[in-house]
Formats: sequence, C-alpha cells, structure tokens
Amino acid sequence: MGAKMKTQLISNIAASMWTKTLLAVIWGLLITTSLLFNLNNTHWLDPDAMLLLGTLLSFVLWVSVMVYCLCSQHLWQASKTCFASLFLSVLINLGQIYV
Amino acid sequence: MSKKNSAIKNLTEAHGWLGVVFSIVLFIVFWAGSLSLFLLEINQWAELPHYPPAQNGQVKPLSEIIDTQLKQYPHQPETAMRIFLPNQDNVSYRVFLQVPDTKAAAKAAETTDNIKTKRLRLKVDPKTGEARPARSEFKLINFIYRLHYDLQLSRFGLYFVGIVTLFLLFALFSGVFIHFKKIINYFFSYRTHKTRTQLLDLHNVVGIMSLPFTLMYAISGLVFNLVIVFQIVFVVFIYQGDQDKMISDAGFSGFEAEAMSGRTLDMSKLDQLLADKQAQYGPARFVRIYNYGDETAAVELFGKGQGNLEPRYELAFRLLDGKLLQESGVQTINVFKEGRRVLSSLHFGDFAGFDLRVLYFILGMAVAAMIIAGNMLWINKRRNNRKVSDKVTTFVSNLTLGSCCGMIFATAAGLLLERTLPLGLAARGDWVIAGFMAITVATAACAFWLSDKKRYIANTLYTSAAILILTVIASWSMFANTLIELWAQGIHSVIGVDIGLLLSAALCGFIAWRLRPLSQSISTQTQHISEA
Repeated sequence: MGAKMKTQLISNIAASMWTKTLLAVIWGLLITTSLLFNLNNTHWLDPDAMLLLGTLLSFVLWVSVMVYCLCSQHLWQASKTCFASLFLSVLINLGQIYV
Repeated sequence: MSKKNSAIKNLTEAHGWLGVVFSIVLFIVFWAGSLSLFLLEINQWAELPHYPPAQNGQVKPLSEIIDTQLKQYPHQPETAMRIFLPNQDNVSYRVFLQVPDTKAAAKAAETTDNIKTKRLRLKVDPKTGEARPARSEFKLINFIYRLHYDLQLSRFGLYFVGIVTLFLLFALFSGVFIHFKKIINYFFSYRTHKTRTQLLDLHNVVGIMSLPFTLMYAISGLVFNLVIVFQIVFVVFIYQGDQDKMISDAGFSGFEAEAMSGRTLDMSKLDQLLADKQAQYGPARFVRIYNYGDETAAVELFGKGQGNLEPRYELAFRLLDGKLLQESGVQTINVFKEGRRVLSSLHFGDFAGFDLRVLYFILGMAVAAMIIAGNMLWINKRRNNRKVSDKVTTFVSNLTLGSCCGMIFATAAGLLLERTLPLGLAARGDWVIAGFMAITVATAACAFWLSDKKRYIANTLYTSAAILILTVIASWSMFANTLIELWAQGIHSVIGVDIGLLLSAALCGFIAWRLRPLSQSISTQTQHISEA
C-alpha cells in the first residue's frame, strides 16, 4: 500500500470514528432526555427521589445508547433505530401531556 | 462475518480508539485521584513539622477564636463565616472569613459590579489561637487534587473531565460486552510468556476485578462534573424554567438568615449551643455563622457522621433563644441530597476506616496501570497490522510512556521540594508547583528522545525511588524530634506518610529491577546482532 493511500485510509478511519462518536453522543443525549421526561410524567415517585433516579439513570442510558450506536457497522443503521426510539418516546410524552 | 461478531468488532474498535484518545487524561485523573485519597494526611505531613500544634493548654472556645480573628480581619457580618472544627483528623480550626476586597471594590466602582468581598482562609491553633493563612506555602497536594477534577483548568476543565468520564463509562460498558463470554474462562489467566498476552491479561483481569469500583467512580464522577447537562434538561423540560423549584426539590435551597437588627449579642452563647447540640445530635464537621455579633445571629451545624453511610444532619439555630430554624437529615430526609452525599462518600472512601482508603488507592493505581496497558495494546496491534503509520504509533507510544513516567517522577520530586524548600522562600508554594510541572514536561520529553523504552521506564522508577527515600531522610534529618512528638500526641499521619513513601520507593525499585535485566538483555542482543 502506498504511503499516500495509507495516510488517506488513516484519516478516513479517524474522521469516521469522530463522526460516529459525535452522533452517538448526540443520539444518547436526545433519547435520554426524552426517556427522563417519560419517567417523570409517570409521577410514581416524589420529586427528590425522581431527581436522584433521573440523575443516576441519565448517564447509564446515555452511555447505553452510545454503545448501541458504536456497535453498528453504519451510521445510518444506528440513526434509523435511534430516530424510531426517539419518535416513539416523544409520542408517549405528548400522549402523557395532552391525553 | 455474523452480525454479533461484527458488532463486537466495531465495539472493540471504538473501545480502543476512544481509550487511546482519552487515556492520558484518564491516567492523570486516576493517578491524582488516588493520591488525593490521602489529601488530609499529605497536607499534615507537609505542614505540621513546620507548624506543630501546641501541646499544652485547653482548646479555646470558638467564640474566643473568632473574636481574636475579627480584631485583625474586618469580616463582613452580613456574609456567612464558615469554620471547620478541630477533631481527630483536623488539628486546627479552619476559618473562612469574607473580608473587603479593595482591588475588586475599585474595579466594581468602574464596572458597577457588586463583588466587594473576598474569602480569607485561616488556620488557627485551637490551644494558642495563633492564626496563619491556609494554603499559601503548602500547595502540592491541593494542586494534585485539582488536577484530579479539573486539570487546573477551572470550569472548562471540570466539564472536560466530565466528558472524559463519560467515555470511561462507555469503555467500561463496551469492555463488558466485548469480554462477556470470556469473563469467567479468562478470569484467572495471566500469560507471561509474551508481552502482548501479558498486557492483555493485565488489562482484562484488572478491568474485571475493579469493575464495581470503576463503575462507581465513573457514575459518581459524572454526577459531580457533568450533572449540569441534566440540570439544564430538568429545568427546561420538567420544571418549565423554574430553577428555584428544582433547587428546592433537590434540597439545596440553603438557609436564609434574617436581616441584621443593629443590636449586639453576647457571642459566648455560641459555645454553649455548640456543646449542647453536638451532645444531642453527634459531632459537627463545620459550622456556618450568620450576622456574627448581632441579635439576629444564627448558626448552621453540619454533622460529621460516624464513618458510615447514614444521613448527616444540617441544623440551623437562632443564637438568641436557641430556636431551631431549619432542619435536614434528622426528621426530614431529602432523597436526592442524601443520595448525592452517599455517592460522594463512596467516591472519597470516607465512609469506613483508613484501610478502605488504602484499598481504594491500590485499585486506583491498578486502574491507572490498566489504562496504560490498554494504550500499549492498541499501539502494538496497530504496529502489527500496519493500519496506522509508524509515526502515529511512535508518537502515541512516546506520549503515553512520557506522561505516565512524568507524573510518577514529578510526584516524587514534588514531595521532595515540598519537604525541603525553606519556609522563608517567597511564593514557596508556587515554586513547588512550577517544579512539578517542569519535571513532568522534561521527563515526558525524554520519552521522545530515548529509544530504549524499558531502560527509560526503569531509570525513571529507580530515580523516583531514590528521591522518595531522600525525602524521608530529609524529613528525619530536619524534623526528627518534632516527628516523634507528633506521634506521641496521637498525630500519626506525618510518620504514616513517610512509611507510605518508603513502601512506594520499594515498589518503584522492585518494578525497575524487574524491567532492567530485560532491558539489558535486549540491548546486548541488539549489540550482538549489529556486530554480526
């Protein structure tokens, strides 16, 4: 493999990892936010207990979504599932608020 | 390739790549954090030989201590003063006053800001009442502690360490997924016949054994450093912008004192109230006093706890009549506040004895070694399959070894400087910090020049061991009598740290000794080959 091709390959891998990681972080944050809202809307705990549970769960959920995204071969595959989950969670949120 | 194998392959790639990107910061965080477990002891080790506590006399009451300081320093009574009480861990009163800041006041006059006071930290001998500014001469361990949580970069550093901790949690989760099948089978394997398998086994075994500990550190670290993200989320989406309501629900709304009346109050009431309430609720760690000397004066007591995870009280009383104004942790328990405190206790290892902190220290150091081993694995793998250029792998390898050896060497040298620099030296604390930084950079730079890496590591460890022994010798040649007196007074931390330094020197020497013959044999082989 020529030196130029090798450099190209390395920069492609790095660029794809940065993009993948950034997207994983963003999907994780969005889905976690929406799921926390779902959880809060159930009102099954006192506000202080809900805050603690939310704080602890938030990071675990965030990282779990990141793990899922970075498991996937292609970004669009992970994004499709993440978008579907987020959409479902937002629908539930809207249902909890308005129904 | 099956879907499952492909997922594990992708995850392994991400685990290694993110690990390499953030490994040096993680190493610094774990190294500095492990040392900071003994922050109190190392602070006492640095200070007490120079400022031994008075042996004779009674502990002066708090009101007398405060009155003496107020004659010297113009504390603003409408702002709260905070005082840490002396106990078996702290030999002195630590007093925090708010005094006029003439520089800020001049600036505020220009910019219409309201910042006109600054915090003054004092350490006061409980028996003589003699005060001296805290943290001015002995800065090393506080500097290392700040490296642990914000890399000395203030708020930006705090959030950056938070983001790095998020990737640590990712590395833990992905590591468990990658090794899930092999966790039991490979748990007891430690294959020493090849460097790669040795590093891999070290990485895996330490990773699995320390998993609960590292998980706890990652989650509690995230709660400390990156909770701002979800605070914003909670305020915006759940509390509809009502930040005060969220703070109140979280139990952090704080105590608000009455406005000052202008009528004076005999503050000796403070000592009686402290004695009564501590007898009733248990020892207090620190107190906060509002409107000192005024009839509206109030005192907040913060419980010390009994070395366990039980709730700690926070009580506010009016001094005039001893009326309870606010209470938390006795009858009213806020789940969030107590949960956060439990996380904090788990993080700092202060819920049990000294032996637990030693265990935390060993685990912390093992995780730091695991991080370096993971980095070396990534480098070796990339070198073998030639996916990454030699320049990149050499650079990452040098940076990893350099920063690791730099921190070890700089810590040893920093301790020597902390012990030997004269007290009269202007900006002594800053000199120690400058020395620490310069040595870290210089040692790290050597990794880029020297080709025999094992010899480089061995030499760094040998020198660090020698410096640690020299520090102990300096300690005893300068303060032998004081050290013995401190021990006799029941203050064991000073000699305890010296013993810790000797053990660390022995460990450094042992590792260097194990590395050196290998290095020499490699050099001899290389020489024979070149001669042939």
